[in-house]
Amino acid sequence: MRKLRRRYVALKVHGRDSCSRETLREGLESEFIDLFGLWAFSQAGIRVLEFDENGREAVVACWHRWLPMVRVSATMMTELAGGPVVVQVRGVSGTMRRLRRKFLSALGPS
Amino acid sequence: MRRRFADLHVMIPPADLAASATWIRDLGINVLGIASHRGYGSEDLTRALAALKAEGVDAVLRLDIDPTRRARLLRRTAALRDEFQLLAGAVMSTQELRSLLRSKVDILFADPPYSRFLSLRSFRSIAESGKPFEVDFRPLITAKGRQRAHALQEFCREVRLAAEAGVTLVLSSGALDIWEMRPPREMANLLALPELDQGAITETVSSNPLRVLERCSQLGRTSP
Repeated sequence: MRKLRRRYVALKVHGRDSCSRETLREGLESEFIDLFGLWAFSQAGIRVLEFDENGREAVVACWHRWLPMVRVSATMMTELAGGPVVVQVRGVSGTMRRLRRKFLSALGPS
Repeated sequence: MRRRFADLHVMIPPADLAASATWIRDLGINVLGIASHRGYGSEDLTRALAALKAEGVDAVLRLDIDPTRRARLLRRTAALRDEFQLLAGAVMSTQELRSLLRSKVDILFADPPYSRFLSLRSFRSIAESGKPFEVDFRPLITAKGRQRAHALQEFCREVRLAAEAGVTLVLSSGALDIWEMRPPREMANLLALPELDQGAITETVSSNPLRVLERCSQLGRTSP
């Protein structure tokens, strides 16, 4: 069996209302569970690592095998904290450094 | 050359489109198909088309023809071509599918629950006619619970049968509201679930819809 590799996904949240890292995490996780089930969620290793509330940009990590499902879950999200949202996947990378350099404006290099 | 993406089916009020033109461009949409029954007469629509054009988004007007209620439209497609660049036929039964296949509509679609009428044989007839088939993303995000499971099941069934029959597949948002629009590239990712190959996935929101419009422009329907 091949080793699991991490994938880092840059997300941009478009919406009318404000949103926090916690609401994004809850929204993404419940969407994933709704679509693919609890067992898949337990295997996917989804983590919201960073969230910039001003730029509404986030970094989400997951195992590479579950990346298509994480992307689908983000696309299918329709609301966060009661307000309508569209979550856009800006890009995917295998390292945080490359993800920041290529896809994130506000979070900047650490 | 940079790939262009299209969403050929939105039913959003023109005033909302005009106000959200920048955002539509940011979603990565280069060509937008606006379903309208009024042609270019409406002031709001003219404003929306101008706002989209200013953001570099090409907009085309589309007319959805339902043969049950508007069969006469199928007989005067030539006249409609002056107003609409894209004529779409709504399949609601196998009998209507036959009349739509004989007509000059550019693209076919079947809203749930009517899509259940379509079998592998229906998709083979569509493939023989050379008409593309459009699947909307909207039912998948608006339905909840079991209804959503049925919508996903139907979506995957349509995609598998279309791929098996060799039908040109076009994926559109079918959005009624600006918040139902999605980046075309991300909508296409959903096609990885019914195990469509990666090349075919991107084509459903890129080269396939653009080829439909190219064919329409060859028939004499040009953008406003």
